[in-house]
Amino acid sequence: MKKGDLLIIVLLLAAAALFWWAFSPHAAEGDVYVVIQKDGEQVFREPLDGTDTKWTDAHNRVVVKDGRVWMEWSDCANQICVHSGTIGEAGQQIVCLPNRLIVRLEAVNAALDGITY
Amino acid sequence: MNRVKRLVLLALLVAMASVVNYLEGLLPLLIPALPGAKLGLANVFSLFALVALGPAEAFTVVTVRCFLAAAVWGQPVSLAYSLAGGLLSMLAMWGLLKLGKERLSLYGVSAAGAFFHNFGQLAVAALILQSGYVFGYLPLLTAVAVPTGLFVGAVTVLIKKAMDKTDLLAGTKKGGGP
Repeated sequence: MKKGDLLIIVLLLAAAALFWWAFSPHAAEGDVYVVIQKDGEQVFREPLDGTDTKWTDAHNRVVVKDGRVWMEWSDCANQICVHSGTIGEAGQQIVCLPNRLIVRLEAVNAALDGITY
Repeated sequence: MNRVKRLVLLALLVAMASVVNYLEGLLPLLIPALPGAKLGLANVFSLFALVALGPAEAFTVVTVRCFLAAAVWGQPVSLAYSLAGGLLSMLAMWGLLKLGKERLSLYGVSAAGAFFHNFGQLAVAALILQSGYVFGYLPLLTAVAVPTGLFVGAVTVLIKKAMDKTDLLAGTKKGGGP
């Protein structure tokens, strides 16, 4: 291990910290919304205020219950989304890559409204 | 180097990387909350190809391994992920080795390779999902990539040392030396 290696490690961790800062909710006092995005388009948006609800399509089922959100079922092969567990805080997300679905908890006054490519 | 010897060496590296990659997939998750995070031991072989043989050989090992894995186990979409991760990672490692030959060792090079592997895969995921939010996973993935990358670098250093004691790499353009 040389000095340059340490510099690389520090730079990588700094990049990680930068992304952490950019993606963490900056004003968490606001209301939290459950946002579901399919193929880049928003298909569901409801406040996470204790109202229990479900969102289903042919490939996934998302459950909102007692202020927690989780992927109850998915027809994808890897089941990573189902094993992601429950989320309940702004900034957290569950992704189902095979079905191109994102479930995200958004603070309404979050500094970062969205990034698209 | 003899063309036959080069072909055999490359084939061996691809085969070993593929098998290691497959076996790694059978292991339980490194971190349960972060599916997909793994040691990345297949990178040992592409990194070894980079330092012992050269950039062309290293890119060949990565590309062939990705196509092979997609053909045998994966779906077409997994090819996009593995190629983006593998090639971006190799590009970064090659560039760093060239830039910082004296100041860098394989530890840092490998850690950066692990980081860019994640970055490339997240970029493809962002394209497919049409959303940049997947980059929110990058901090956690980097926290895993640094130690696993260092580990892969350490393994590669050991293998390079052991191989330099044999004459198996005799005649390769970068045979000998650390």
